[in-house]
Amino acid sequence: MSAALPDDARRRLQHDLRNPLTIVTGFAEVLAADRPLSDAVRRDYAARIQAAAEEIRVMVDQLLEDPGDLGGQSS
Amino acid sequence: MPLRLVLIEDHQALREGLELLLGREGCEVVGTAGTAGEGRDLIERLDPDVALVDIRLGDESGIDLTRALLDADPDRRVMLYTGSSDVELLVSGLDSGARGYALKEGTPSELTAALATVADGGTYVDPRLRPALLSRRTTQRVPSLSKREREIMDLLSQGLTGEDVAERLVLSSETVKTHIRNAMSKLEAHTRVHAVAIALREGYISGPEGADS
Repeated sequence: MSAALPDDARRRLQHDLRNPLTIVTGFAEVLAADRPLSDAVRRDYAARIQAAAEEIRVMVDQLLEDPGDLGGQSS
Repeated sequence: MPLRLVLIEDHQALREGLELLLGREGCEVVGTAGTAGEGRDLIERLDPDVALVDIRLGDESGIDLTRALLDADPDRRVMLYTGSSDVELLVSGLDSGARGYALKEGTPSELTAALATVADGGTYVDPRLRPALLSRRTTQRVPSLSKREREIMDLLSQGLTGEDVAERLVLSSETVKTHIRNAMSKLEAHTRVHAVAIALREGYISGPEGADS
């Protein structure tokens, strides 16, 4: 699918998807680690993962619906 | 003493997330900014041990910011941070004089170790980029590196500083500097980290095994 995208849009998508993905993997790693966290911190980290996942979902939906628009996404 | 870091990242949630995650890893994030202009002011004012700069800052370029920072102060330690494994972008990034190049797919602990390497005067290229660098090897001939130059480039690729290399090889710092200068000249590299990247790409060195470099 991404092969059909212009190079610039593909590079931008690759970059933009990494931002929320980095949040998901970073905070998931902390939550999965065997270190004590307060309930408030745990909730905060889970909320950050949730928001980042939603951002990814929006980007993927947009990619599926109208790949041409991705060239205008901000990073 | 914790590593003092300035973080320039235009994605607000990631900027805030990294501040938290790197803080947990023991870094002291002394400032953050979302634009190149704010970032430059902050870095010049706070003089951190290392600056982590996103390659894409909205419509601005983290590579241009790095170039401007190093034009003003060549000793500034900057690590570029990107979601892209595009090798052409990597070469442009290293041309700017950045001492490190990290991918966003790395873990917070990997990123912290890379930042510490650069803050200590070493160089860092994300090990995930090595296959791309090696596959880019061309048939174009570049002057061969001597055994000693290859050995030194190999140690630099592991994050050692020039002084560390001198100690390891029982050489004077000046001798190591001369070898590095000669290797950079042969490889037509502008900086040490650029020379390491070219040496990897050209197959003169294989880099450390595993992902802990």
